[in-house]
Amino acid sequence: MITAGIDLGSTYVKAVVLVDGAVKGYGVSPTGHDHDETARLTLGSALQMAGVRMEDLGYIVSTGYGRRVTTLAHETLSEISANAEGTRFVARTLGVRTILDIGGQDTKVIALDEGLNIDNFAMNDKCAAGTGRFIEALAGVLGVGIDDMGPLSLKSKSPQRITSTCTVFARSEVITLIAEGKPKEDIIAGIHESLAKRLATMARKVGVRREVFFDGGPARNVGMRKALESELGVTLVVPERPQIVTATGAAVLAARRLEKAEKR
Amino acid sequence: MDVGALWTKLALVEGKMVLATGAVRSIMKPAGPVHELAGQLLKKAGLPPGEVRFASTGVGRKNIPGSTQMTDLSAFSKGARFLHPPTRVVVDIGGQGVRLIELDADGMMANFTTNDKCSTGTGCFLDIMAAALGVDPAYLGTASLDAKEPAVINTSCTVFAESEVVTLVAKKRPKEEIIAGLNEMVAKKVVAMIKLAGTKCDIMLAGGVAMNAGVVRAIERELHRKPVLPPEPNMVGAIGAAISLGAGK
Repeated sequence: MITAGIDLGSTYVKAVVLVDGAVKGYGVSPTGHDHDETARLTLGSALQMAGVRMEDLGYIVSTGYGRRVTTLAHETLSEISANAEGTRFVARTLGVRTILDIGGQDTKVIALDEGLNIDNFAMNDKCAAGTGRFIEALAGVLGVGIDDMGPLSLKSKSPQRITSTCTVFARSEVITLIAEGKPKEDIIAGIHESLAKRLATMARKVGVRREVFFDGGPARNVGMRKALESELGVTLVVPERPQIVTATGAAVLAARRLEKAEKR
Repeated sequence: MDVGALWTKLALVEGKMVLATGAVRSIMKPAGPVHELAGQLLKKAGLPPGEVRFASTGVGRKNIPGSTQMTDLSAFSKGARFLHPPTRVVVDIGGQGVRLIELDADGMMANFTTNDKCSTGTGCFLDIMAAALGVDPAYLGTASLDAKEPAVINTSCTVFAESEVVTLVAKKRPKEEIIAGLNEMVAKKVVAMIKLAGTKCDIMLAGGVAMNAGVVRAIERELHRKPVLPPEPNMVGAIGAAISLGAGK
């Protein structure tokens, strides 16, 4: 049984190919201006990695901000549901009760009950300062690559507080801090702390119960993990590939649909 | 002088007459350029230098030594009442924040709300959008007035809107329509603040952003009323500061 899940985010499109219950291929591409075209290309990469052809796919489910835009999917699924589904697949026995997801342009907190069903959730997609975009914009100002933000921040001995609550104003603040000669590591650590504080505030409104699962692209950032752990006072459960958990969830739902259809 | 986050505005006032105005970009040490501009204004008005008293307001007012300092709220209240006595609400749409000041029947400040946590709708927002559109910020003022159908911008965040603008430009949407959509974004935010204040009386628009005809038109449409627009909306603070020094220059 071969299925695929496509998570069409505003910043990145992720595709996962599931073969007989295991993730055999995945792809990640910047979204660009054409969601559908990028979805096609990203799925192509995932299929190639899995050694499987488009025709072999039995069912495709799309999720994410652009889920209705793609012509490829048989069905759409909300990101919240897809993320929960993906978390169950990747971490079923780990006792996850809270999911923290930092996306490119949004953040989500999902509370699960003992049966790992969705109990409550909250989302911010209104303000860039609470999303991956905050890190991306400020990394640009610092001239640091996104993948270097994490390792660099671990060198910080004294995080520099960022007081601006708006990404635009934070950019000016960071430029000033650089001009004042503040060490880059300290500024980056401060950036992570800022985002961690905002996410923690949103999470506490929903209720933070252990174990806490951290996914989304920025979950690959070790500095972000550290800042969040520090802010919440818990050790986070982070999957090997946090960026594709939601797409995996979509592929898992696709497999369930296909199984049901084949039983008839 | 109104030493704002982005611009420093100067107004030369004699008695009840505004003789000359000018503005320079705000910098770390503004005293030099500000005094230079003051000298130019005096020359323009045909007045000898040295007979001028200075009053300053704005976030950078402490950087102008030798001036009587006052808060923005005080300066804007005075400036608004001077320019249009029946004013009861002044909305200052500035470089990095939007402020709403409620005045009582005697022109004294009764209440105020400030939104300086979010860049949407501010001068900073418009500068960013002008850059994203590849146009001069001055172009934004009248460009949208002929737009047939404003582009819908699906966010209230400057950063996300910038991305949407870049995509719209790539999809060859006419710039006037994008600008019209951006003006609506600004209007929504400003009008939301006005509605919270809940006033039916004269509302004055002030600040650099109020010089943008497209934004003002969008605010009128969103508010279903015409706000009061002084001839130089960005000078309200500077004029108010000057007036507060009393009779004389």
